[in-house]
Amino acid sequence: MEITDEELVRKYLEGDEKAFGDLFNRYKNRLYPYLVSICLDKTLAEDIFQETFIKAVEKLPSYRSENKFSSWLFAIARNIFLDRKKSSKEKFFQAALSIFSSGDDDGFSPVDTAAEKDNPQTILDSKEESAKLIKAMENLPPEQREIISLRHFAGLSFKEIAENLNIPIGTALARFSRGIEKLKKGIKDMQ
Amino acid sequence: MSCPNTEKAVLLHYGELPFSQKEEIESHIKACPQCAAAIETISGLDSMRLVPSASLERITLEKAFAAGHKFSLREKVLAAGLCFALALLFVIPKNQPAPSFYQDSDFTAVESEISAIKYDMADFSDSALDYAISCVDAGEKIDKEAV
Repeated sequence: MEITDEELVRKYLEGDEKAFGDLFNRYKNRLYPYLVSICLDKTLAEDIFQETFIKAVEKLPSYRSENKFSSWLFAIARNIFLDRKKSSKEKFFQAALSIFSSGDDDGFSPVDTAAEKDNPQTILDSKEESAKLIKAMENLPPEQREIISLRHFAGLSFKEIAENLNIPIGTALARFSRGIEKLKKGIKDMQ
Repeated sequence: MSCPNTEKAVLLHYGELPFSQKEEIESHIKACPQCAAAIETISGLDSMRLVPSASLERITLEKAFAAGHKFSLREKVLAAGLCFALALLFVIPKNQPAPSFYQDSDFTAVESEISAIKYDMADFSDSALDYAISCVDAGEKIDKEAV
C-alpha cells in the first residue's frame, strides 16, 4: 500500500529528508504544468515552482493533516502566483509562444513516446498543436483558465477546487465547461 | 448553444460522475457532437505534456532542503524561552541581596530582651549584639554582666 502524503510529511518532520524528496517527486509533474498554464511564461512558472517547494518545506511544521496535502501545496502555489500578479507592473501575460521559440526543450517536453521522439515531423506537429493550445489558453478569462489548470494539470477534483477557491462546485464546473467551449472555439479559429 | 449535459460529460471524463449516471452519459456523449467535442478538447490538453527539466528539479530540491535546515519560528521561540529560564535560575538570583539571616520577629525578640535589661539596642556593639542574638536563639536570658 502506497505511503500517504501525510505520512511522508510526518516522516520528514521526524528527520527523514528523503520523505520530502518523495513528496517532491509526486507533485513536480502536476505543479509544473499547472504553473505554466496559469503563468503562460516559462521563466515565471519556474520561479514560482521553486518558491512553492521552498515555502512548502518551511511551512511543513504548521501543516495540518486535516487538509489534503495536494490542496495545501497548490494553495501555496496559487498565492505566490497572485502575489506576483499584484506586484508586477509589467504586462503579466507574455506571448505564450516564447516557450517554444528558442527551440530549447529544457523545461518543456511535449513528447513522451519513443516513436514520436524519432520522428522530427511528429515532434514539430506536436509542438505546433501545443502552441495553439497555449495561445488559446491565453485568450481565456483568468478564472476559466485557472479552473482548467487546477482540474486538468494540478489534478484537483472539482470538490477540492471549489473548497480552495471558496466557490460552489456548480460554479467551478460551469467555469470549466465554458472555458473548454471557448478553448475549442479558439483552437478552431486558429486552423 | 451548449448541451446541458456537458458538465456531466466532464465529470464522467474525470471519474467524478456518480456510477448510477455513467451509462446514460456515456451513451449521450456518443450521440452528442457538442459533448464529444468538449471531451476531445480536454483530451487535447494532454498534448501539452509539460514537465520540469532535470536542472530545475535539482535546483529546486537543493534550495528546498537548504530552507528546511533553517530553524523554525517554534524552535526559535523555544530556544528563547530556555535562555530566559536559565537566566532566571542562574543569573537573577546572584543579583539579589543575600537573605537576611534574621527575620524581623527575631530582632523584635532580641530588642525585647535587651530592653528587659534596660539597655538600648542602638548602644550595643556588634559583638554584644551577636551575643544577645545567640541568647535569644538558645532561648536563654541575656547576662547583663556578659554584655
